Amino acid sequence: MSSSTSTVTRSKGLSWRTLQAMKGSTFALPFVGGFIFFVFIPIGIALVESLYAEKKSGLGLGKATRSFVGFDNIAQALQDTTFWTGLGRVAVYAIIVVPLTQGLSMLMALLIDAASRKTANRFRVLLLLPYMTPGIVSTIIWIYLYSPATSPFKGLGVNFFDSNMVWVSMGQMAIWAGLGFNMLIQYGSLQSIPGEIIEAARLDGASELRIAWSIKIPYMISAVSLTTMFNIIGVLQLFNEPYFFRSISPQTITKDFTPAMQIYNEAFQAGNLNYATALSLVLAVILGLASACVYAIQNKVDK
Amino acid sequence: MKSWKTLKNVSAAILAGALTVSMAACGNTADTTAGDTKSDGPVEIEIWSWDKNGQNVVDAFNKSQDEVKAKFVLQASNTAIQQNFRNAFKAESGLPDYVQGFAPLTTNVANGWAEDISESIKSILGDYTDAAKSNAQLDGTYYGFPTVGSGQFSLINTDVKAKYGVEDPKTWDEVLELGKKAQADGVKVFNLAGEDPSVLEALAQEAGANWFQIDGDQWKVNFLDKGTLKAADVIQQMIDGDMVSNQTYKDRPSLYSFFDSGNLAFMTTQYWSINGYKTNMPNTSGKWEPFEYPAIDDSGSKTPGIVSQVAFVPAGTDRTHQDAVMKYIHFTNTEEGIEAGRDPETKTTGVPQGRSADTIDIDKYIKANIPENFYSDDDKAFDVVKNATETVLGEFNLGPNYDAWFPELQDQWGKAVAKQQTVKQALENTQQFVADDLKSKGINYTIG
Repeated sequence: MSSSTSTVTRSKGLSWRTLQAMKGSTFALPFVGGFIFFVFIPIGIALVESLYAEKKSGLGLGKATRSFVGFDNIAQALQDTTFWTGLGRVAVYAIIVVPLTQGLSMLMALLIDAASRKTANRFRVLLLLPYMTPGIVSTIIWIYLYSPATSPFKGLGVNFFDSNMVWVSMGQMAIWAGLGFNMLIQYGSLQSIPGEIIEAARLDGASELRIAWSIKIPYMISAVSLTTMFNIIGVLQLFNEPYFFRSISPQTITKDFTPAMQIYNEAFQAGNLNYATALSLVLAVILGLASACVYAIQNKVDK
Repeated sequence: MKSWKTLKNVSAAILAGALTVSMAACGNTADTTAGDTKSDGPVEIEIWSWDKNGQNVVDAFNKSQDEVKAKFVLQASNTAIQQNFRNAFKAESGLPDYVQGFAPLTTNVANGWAEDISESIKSILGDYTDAAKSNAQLDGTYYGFPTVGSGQFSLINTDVKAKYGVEDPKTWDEVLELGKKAQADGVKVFNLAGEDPSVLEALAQEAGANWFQIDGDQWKVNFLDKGTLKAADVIQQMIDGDMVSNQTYKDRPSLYSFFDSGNLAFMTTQYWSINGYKTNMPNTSGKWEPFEYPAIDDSGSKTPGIVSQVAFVPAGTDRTHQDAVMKYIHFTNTEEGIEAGRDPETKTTGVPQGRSADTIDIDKYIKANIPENFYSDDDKAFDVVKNATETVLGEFNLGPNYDAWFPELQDQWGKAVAKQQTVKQALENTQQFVADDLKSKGINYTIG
């Protein structure tokens, strides 16, 4: 009796497999919920906002009138020379900073991997400290490190606040902040190398350098691709470092020096929220394309 | 069967949660003012401010009367209050009844944030000076609370003064003369921070400029009037003659170190900066002689003070709540209110500015803000600070798009200070930016 009831129920509703799958999928609900609320819906709202513009009249006092402008904001963003110049700046900056960050973090990961577990643990935490330091705290640290009055490096005769040194100073800050995070992911990939492979190489007489070059680095490629992608995304959204240097070197770092600064200025200072959203969407597409390129290159390397 | 039930339960829970959130949101939307009026109780108002001692003032106010009950909401900073207010305004929910100023008056009106309080404010107008009242009006309508900028005055290093045998420079031309003499020894006459064009604004205001004026149904924009060009010329001469340092206010240790080195001859300042100087400039403490702001033309010394933050009552606040806010603001203008705001740690309170001398004894607050052994002459310092407080100028309209053009002026100013262009070119470029921005926003304007 019970068997026949069960058969009837299943035939009326969903299959057992589907129900099991749905039950399993509930575990993903917190993430899906977060993704929908904090990513999907905001993107949707951004899309809608970019299709509108706010106009005033007369003296411009009081609330603005909102009107549908279609893709005008997107078209304007695509032709905005300030935006593309800013993007060009961060692209050049990325060409230097990204390989430098990745190279240094790979070196750190390999060194820590070569050290004893106790030493490795100590350095791992130390290297991760900059990543864990809140932005405002690190800004204060760097002000003191760079300040011509308080810098411990003032004896070198280098003025890190000089407009000619701005890029170097920003690069240092960015690499310092990102090194630990990249290193940690890359170090994690080194932990997955089977011990017997390393042991076999040692028995065959391979030096530590040779082991690193021929075994460890190939194993790190996937992790390095991932961190490189994160790094590119981060650099193209460069904001904190130039924002800090804007006061120090305003003749060089203008209000729309990078795309992220331009978006911030348009949205929260000039009050052109609709146009700022259009710029954000264009930047998001560019970031998507950059990420796709990194993946494509990685796939090619893997093959 | 059990799985289906579980799924249904989960879905129901999510739906219930979503409904609860949306219903709560609906409740807030209906409540456009945070305060509430009970027919038989006090009027409840909400005060937003980033003043860490604000709670003490509100407590004292609540204790002093029983008609109004104020609730204080501490904001983390100027930026935080701005963001929180923008969010609440956009959501049309959770708005306070009084907001400490975070933007210029015209910006508050242009964004539709500020309520017309011309009627309700009449009860407290007697508390303020004319200059303060002029800063709260736009085209004759009160949209904010009267206030003035901190009155500027001058300081000269007495060692430098003695070395070059000069008197206190009474005009900017005399400052330039001192600058030429001092430059030969590597002593700078003034500091121009690349990120801070406020000295240009101050000099322009002193020279009688008004960059934005209402002319019927349009704005009359003029960054290149005679007064502003005179101000630009003074600054340009200092830049061209290598008479200035460019210490940024972002790097305070370097700034104080340079100011305290004896290589800075002269500066303009306001009373609230002095405690910082006193603490961080031990070598030159006692060597700074105060005197009035130098005159830029034959009309004599004037005290610039541009107001870029005006407190207001949010749009939509009803008259009952406006009146309650006025009672609170009047209390803050009394000695009892000012005392309640005294910092319990430092035991200090600011100088109440823009307040009518008939209602408050400003002298004692000025005396309390003269630190020992910083000025070369404390009695003179008292007279100078008092004069700056009482004579500070009002009325320098910053236009309907200040948030947009000020960062542009900063960019242009930074380039001028770095000699990449002239100050006049910086003004021309800023004016062009203002014109383009107003045009893109559909706001009527005319240049000149």
